[in-house]
Amino acid sequence: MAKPIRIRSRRRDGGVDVMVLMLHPMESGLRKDANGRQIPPHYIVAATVTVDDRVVLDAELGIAVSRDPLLQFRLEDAPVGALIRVHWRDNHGEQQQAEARLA
Amino acid sequence: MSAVSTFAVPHASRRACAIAPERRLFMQSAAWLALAGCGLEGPAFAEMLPPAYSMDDALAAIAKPARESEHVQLRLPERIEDGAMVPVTVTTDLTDVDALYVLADMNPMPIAAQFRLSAGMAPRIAVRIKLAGSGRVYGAALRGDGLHWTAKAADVVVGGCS
Repeated sequence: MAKPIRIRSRRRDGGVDVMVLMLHPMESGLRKDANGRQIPPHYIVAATVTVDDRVVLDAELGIAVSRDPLLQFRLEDAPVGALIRVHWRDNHGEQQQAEARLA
Repeated sequence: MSAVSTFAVPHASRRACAIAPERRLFMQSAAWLALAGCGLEGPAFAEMLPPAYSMDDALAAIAKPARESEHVQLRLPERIEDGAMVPVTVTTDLTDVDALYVLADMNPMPIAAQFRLSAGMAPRIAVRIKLAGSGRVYGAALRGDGLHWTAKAADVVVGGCS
């Protein structure tokens, strides 16, 4: 079973490049299945990233974001081994969280 | 989401009248997205088009003043085969940036994604978005002095509606 959130970090030039992959169908609610029935909307509404319990990124996503959202960002100020935590919440009220140690 | 079934004739359905105006706009926009992305267009569908929004208004709604700026950079593929998976990067050389936005003028909702940044985050974000068709994609940075944006043409071969 694939991990619902994957976090990868790489220290480079005094900062840390982070890649977060959130497995999620990101269904807009506009697509139809093989029987012509509307596939209900199911998408991440918000995602938050914290480093050592401090919020660094607060993202508002929605139906215009592709399936399996992949976010890439850079932290200028994070110590080696800091705890990065990613949390998302979707339109069904489902939530997921994952954490990792920064490179 | 049983209300989805009223997409077909939103203005004629009694259920649609019971739906809050902003929700009805969303549903009409969503119907337009489906039609536009699937290549159906023409006068028969004109009544289903959402109220036209201007990108200037959408940007000004985020913050005023909203100015085109060479200090914001947008990376976007030159030719987009699959509108359902478009990698976009917004960066800026401005300092004290509070948030970054990705917008698209061919989608029914102008804002595709928004990111509130804290100190310690480089003002740079990459995300993959869906584009209903060809048009312009915008990247914007919000600071105390307003919104700074840039835009690029997106040439989309297959729209990302379905």
